[in-house]
Amino acid sequence: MRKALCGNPPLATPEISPKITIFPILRATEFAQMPTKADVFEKVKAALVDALGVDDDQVTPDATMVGDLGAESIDFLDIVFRLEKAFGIEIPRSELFPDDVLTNSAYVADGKVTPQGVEELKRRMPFADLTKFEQNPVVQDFGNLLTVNDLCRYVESKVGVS
Amino acid sequence: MRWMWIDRFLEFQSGRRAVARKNISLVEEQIDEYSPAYPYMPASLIIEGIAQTAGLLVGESSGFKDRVILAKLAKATMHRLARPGDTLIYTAEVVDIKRDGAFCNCTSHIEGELQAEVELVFAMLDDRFPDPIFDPADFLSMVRIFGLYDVGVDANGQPLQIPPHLLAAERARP
Amino acid sequence: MRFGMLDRITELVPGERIVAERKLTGREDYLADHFPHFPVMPGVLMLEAMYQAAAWLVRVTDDFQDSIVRLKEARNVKYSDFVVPGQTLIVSAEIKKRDGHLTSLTAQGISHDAVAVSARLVLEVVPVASLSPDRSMLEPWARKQMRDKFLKISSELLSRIPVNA
Repeated sequence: MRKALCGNPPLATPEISPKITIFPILRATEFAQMPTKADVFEKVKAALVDALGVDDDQVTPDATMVGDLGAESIDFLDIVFRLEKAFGIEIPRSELFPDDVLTNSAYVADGKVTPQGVEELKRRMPFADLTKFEQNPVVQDFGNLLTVNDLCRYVESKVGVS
Repeated sequence: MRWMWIDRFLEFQSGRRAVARKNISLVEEQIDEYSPAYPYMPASLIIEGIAQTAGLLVGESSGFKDRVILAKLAKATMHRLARPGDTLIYTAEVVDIKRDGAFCNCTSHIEGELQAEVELVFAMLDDRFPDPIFDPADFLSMVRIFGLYDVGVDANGQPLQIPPHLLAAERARP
Repeated sequence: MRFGMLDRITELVPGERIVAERKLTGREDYLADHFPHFPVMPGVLMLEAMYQAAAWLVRVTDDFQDSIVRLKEARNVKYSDFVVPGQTLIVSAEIKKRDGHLTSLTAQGISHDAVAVSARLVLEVVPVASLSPDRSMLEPWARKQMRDKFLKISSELLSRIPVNA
């Protein structure tokens, strides 16, 4: 469940109209609490170091989760739990990994994702850079190309960044 | 050797937190000759006790319909050695439970002192595996013996109800 | 030792690595509880097997100086497959770093040609005298016990090593 980003409004005193005092205070706290891209990266990095047991310096934006960081399917579950807790967000599995596209016969032919399938993936995963995958869209390779940066962009889309 | 690595639940709040006790005894098989000069409880069996505490907590939250297994021990840090004569208090807290898995933060204490810290990731067994892994009536007997339903409470603090399918199996037992 | 998890050690390079095996015969008591309708090696016993192999490696490397080599930390212990009765778990451990009393290792368990478990372990040598000054009287005997246990599971390995004059 997404935690409210706004702090508790102060108790309105009788002579001040609540509408005038609360709104600007809400706006101020919302901006103060919105993370920067760097904040998101640090927290994502910490989650990956804990979940995958890799060193801090191995977690670069371009590192692939599977290839470079050794993430396996059970690790993705671990990572999702940690990110949900760290950012106070909910990560439905199908948002991060639209498995259903990869198993839909309308989008897959001969072990490769069709152009319509790739478009659908792009639509469902605006946070991911699928250009590499698009060049040779083999279904088996799909998970392997997800990078740390893709993960950060996904989190950014859920929390909003300043 | 039975595979029960907790002795009794002290506390059981459905879907949230469970506390169990494990007494370590010199007569237990795993202690014999394990560390001749200074017998101690193998870390792996402390971890198992903790996993049983947490696993039952996760399982009960779905009325024991899902088959919960340990998929990943993310981190386990052991502090002092636990010895025969010690009583270990295992505490498991749910961080989150999802459709396909759960995450728990757990600890072990001896006389109030932190003895181990463990992070566990559970997965729910899918349809590729035979159903069920326990006989329902025997499983209910085991959790009764652990005192789960003696101390168990739901989110409203009311005594925990035993799932109908387990009661039915128990009644049907010859 | 009733909690011995290893049948035999097949490879050992002091300071570097060890390979050992454990066959799940199906006659193990605990299988009746784990699980009644689906007997498989408990995950923590796969961990124990990796730990025991790593501990023998450290003991041999240090010439059995201290009887206690305990598991201090386990990280990223991932289970990717089950070990069923009749299958053999081949465990291996490799030393990554030694730092005073601590040794960091990577470890793995392979069953039917697939990785069933992998982990990062930290083992700690604990001198008995630091736990209990009295018990240090027992150390020479305890060290011998450990050496004898080691010999029992490494006889085949040792018969392959040329004896130095």
